[in-house]
Amino acid sequence: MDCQKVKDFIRDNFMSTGYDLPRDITGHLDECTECRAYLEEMNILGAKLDPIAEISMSPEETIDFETGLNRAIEAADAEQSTYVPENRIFSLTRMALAAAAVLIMMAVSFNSDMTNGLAVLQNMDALQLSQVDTDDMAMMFVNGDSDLLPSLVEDESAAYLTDQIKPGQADDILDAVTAEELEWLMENLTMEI
Amino acid sequence: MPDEQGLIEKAIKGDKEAFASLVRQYQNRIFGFIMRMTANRETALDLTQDTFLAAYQNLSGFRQEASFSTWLYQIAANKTRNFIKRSKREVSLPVGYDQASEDDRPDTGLEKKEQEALLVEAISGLPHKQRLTFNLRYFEQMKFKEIAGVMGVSVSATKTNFAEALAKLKKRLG
Repeated sequence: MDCQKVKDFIRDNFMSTGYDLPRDITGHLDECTECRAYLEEMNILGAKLDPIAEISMSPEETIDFETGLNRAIEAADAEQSTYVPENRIFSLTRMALAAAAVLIMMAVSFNSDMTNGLAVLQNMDALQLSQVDTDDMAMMFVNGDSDLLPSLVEDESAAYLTDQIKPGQADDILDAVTAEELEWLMENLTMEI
Repeated sequence: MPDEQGLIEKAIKGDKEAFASLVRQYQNRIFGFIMRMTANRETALDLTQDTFLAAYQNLSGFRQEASFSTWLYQIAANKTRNFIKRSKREVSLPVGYDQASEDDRPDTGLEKKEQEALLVEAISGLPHKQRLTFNLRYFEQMKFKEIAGVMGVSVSATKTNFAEALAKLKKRLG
């Protein structure tokens, strides 16, 4: 086993809980001063980080947190029980789809490496959060979590959103984006592609 | 007492006590994660609350393709990132870094508080992606594949981020 593989193993398994070294690694360490020094450096760093390995709320903070969360949940439940016009859900869903369309268009239009831009979106399919469907997203917005929009559009849900778009729909969806929305999307998405 | 899976299923069906049990199980882990990301207790408390509220509101969308904890961390990571973006700056350690809860510990001295502040500052000073990767890997023991899922990047990119974060921390804390 060469030194780089040993160092890669040590680095990749560096965690606050520690880890066991397999026999081939320990065998190499017995023979290699440089890798032993590397391991020692990592152990020293781990020891330095120990004091913040577990950060907890104080009892007072816990009470405040639980009280605040319960109130927020009650408020959310109350809000959800109020009437939500169907066309509002539809427009929000359409907004999310339009955002995905813009993502694709921008990947094609603004990225000098078109294949790469599209691949970024396609690779997101592998993400575990593709479970969020457009109805759920619409409900998130309706429930008032407006700051979810940027993350939904920019991050993990982009792949799912792209899945929702059928061939030929992109132009129609893009037409649904207002100039203001388009400006916002361009400002927020260009950095991500 | 029901296991986590049982609690999740009950919570999805609207059992608030089951959801409360899940919250109690994860609240300090999520708080610690956000605290190391933002270096501010008050912000961490607010974002922890936001995280669990979003989880509550979207439980029906949780299809259990990922673990519940990964799902929670993803929400927390998004909340944190949005907060940082909204604040239009990378989070820096506030003057008079607040370690209020640490004061409750009898063995907590000034030196220990300063040391903790320095550590949190060193981590919060990392670029966002490196900071997120380092936190999820080193402190939360997530697999690189899970981190890649949370961040929407490749596994190799998470390993690179981790390696770069480590190199910077070694330099800063060395």
